[in-house]
Amino acid sequence: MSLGEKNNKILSVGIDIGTTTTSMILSKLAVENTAMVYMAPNVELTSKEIIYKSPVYLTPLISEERLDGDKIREIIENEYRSAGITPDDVDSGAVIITGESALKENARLITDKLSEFAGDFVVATAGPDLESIIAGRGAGTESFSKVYGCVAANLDIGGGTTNISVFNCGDLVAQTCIDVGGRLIRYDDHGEITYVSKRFNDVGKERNIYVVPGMRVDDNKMALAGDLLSDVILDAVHQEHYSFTRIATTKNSRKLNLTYPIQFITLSGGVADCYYNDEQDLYKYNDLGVAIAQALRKKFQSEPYEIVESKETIRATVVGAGIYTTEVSGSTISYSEEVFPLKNLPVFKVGEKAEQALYECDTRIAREELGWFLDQSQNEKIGICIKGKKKASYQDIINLAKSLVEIDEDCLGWDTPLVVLSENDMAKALGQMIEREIKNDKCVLCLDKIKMGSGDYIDIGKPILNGIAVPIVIKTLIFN
Amino acid sequence: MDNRQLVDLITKEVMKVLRENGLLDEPYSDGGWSGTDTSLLDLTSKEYKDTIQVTDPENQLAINAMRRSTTARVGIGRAGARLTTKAMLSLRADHAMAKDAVLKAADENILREMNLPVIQSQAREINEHLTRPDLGRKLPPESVDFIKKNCKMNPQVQIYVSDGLSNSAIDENIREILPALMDGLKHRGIDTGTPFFVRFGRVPTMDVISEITGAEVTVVLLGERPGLAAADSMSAYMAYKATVGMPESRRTVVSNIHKNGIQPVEAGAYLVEIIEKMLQTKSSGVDLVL
Repeated sequence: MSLGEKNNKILSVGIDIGTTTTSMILSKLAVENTAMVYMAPNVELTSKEIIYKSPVYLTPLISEERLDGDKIREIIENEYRSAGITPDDVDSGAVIITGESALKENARLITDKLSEFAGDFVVATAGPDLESIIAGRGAGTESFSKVYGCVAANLDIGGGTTNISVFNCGDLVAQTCIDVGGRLIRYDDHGEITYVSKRFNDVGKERNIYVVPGMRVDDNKMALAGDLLSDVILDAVHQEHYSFTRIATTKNSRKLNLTYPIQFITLSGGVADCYYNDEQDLYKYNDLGVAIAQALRKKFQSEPYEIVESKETIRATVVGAGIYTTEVSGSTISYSEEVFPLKNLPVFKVGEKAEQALYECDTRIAREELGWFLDQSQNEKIGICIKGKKKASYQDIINLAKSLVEIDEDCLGWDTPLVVLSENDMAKALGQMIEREIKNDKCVLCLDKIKMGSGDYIDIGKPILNGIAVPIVIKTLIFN
Repeated sequence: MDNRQLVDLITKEVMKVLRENGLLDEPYSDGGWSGTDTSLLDLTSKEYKDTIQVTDPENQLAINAMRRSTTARVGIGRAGARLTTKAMLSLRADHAMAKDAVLKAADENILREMNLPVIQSQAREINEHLTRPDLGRKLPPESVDFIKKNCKMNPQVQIYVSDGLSNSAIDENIREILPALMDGLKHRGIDTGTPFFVRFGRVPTMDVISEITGAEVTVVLLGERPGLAAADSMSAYMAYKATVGMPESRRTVVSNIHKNGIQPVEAGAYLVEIIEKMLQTKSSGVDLVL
């Protein structure tokens, strides 16, 4: 029962446009059916190998409010050339725009355009929580916590934001994002301050620190600023939050709320390099990065956490974007290949009560909910996400399939594919039953073992391994 | 009378005698002692097993993660060099479940409900079935006659059910997997034969049945030898044009079909795909490339 070597490698690209830096990686992901021959197929990513790393570029800006889209595209085009690939070769991946870059006026336009260029199945993705998770995976914190059976947090301290994710024995348990980074203040080679982020003075107010461009930096001021920002970061990590966290937490993110202590901490992002290398030159990068790193070094000595080295520092986010955003899902598909890739499908999560009713063939609540959802999303193609049952009976499957077909006929157009995503393992049975119940010959796609939240989006790539699985990317799009 | 009723009855009798002899202070209340009491945990339940823990562990989180990753009895603590009483009781209870699964008969109500007539292998009773696998592989003349008289001949797919070594597997799974499989094949336009139940059957009994019915593909849904982790595990053995004495490598199997393994409905749907492929490629076992 061998599946053969055919099309079991995915070339995945990761592009990270951060507050300060932009970089790209290419990786090869191997997909295999890891189930024993006598078991039902279980398709997994079995190896993840980084095959190309770009240099770290400064993120090109036209002004403080706008990214320079042409320059960014040029960087990526050049990197594709030097890696020896074309967009056609790329199967999957993510363009992720993080930190303050996500707040720029043209952020959405640029990521959308870039993802169109970068390959057929490369998605634009952003959102503070997602960044935290991606950085934590890229930094190797997730696998560290799994291997050592512990609670480990990653602090990805970048130019504009610090993304924090916490893993417990390999499971993500919490994530947050605060508006603190090395580039909240910038100064020229003569020590004259050229830029101050509003966010710096927001937290500075708590200690009566106020900075405006034109002031000059010195050792003492740098130490004060480093002390301030590292306190804000530690405040977010601690289980008791003070006013700093309230002020600094990024919009759309929530503060950490854990019932057990963090044991280990890894650091990533640009500031992590300064930390691990014990950088002494305070003014090296014309920002606060080194000052924050030095202050953290001092403070961690009296903290209960053990600091461990991360696998990636400044490239943690881009590595995470390239390697950890793509997943594969076993599938039941009655499809024509032309419909793939399905991009940016907003996911409609059927409410708990509504789903219960579906097992009784009562679709009223679900149709009502879907009506509101369709009004808001203004997208014809959607994915319907259900929890599914751990122990479904045959009758459950029949009723569920009938209900879903009814919802489809009532609410979705005749030429839009019916995409059903289930958390529990039931895609084959449900998919076959939907095929049986559906009256037209529309494309039906049923995937399981997928966990999504309301408001998430999903991209579904071309079927792989003779159609027994598809690559998917789940994402949260938040542009202000 | 089912087990539950029997237990209730015995409990009631014992309590009565105890009370009559003045050995019981409490007035007897049915809710407190019979099987309906919810405060006592089933020794084989997950809830009970969750209470078996290492005392004062260095890293509880790591133990939890390890325990989640396996059904083996890890992280259960010890009393000196031995198992704790709780762990011991749980082991014994699981062992009892496994023995029950082998020795009890499949629920006849379920077989009737699923419309499965019962025939028997050459083994005459359970002990012969367990000690003489050679007899379990053969059918007596009356069973052969029954099939010839009552079953559709030369179907594309012949499906039947057999107890094998776990009757619990039949009771727990057959209501979900059989209709999912039969309806699934029908929907794809595949012609299926008349299903039935073979008591005291072994895997190679399917070869005999394949020869009698002349089916292209023969499928048996069979109870697997129970272990301490699952007593109700079922397998589906399938072969293209099975013949008596053919090599084992011609069989395809999907195993671990039970509530904590592959869900029976999901397994049914998966089998439909495999069987379709067998018919297309006219092959099974190691020759079949899935």
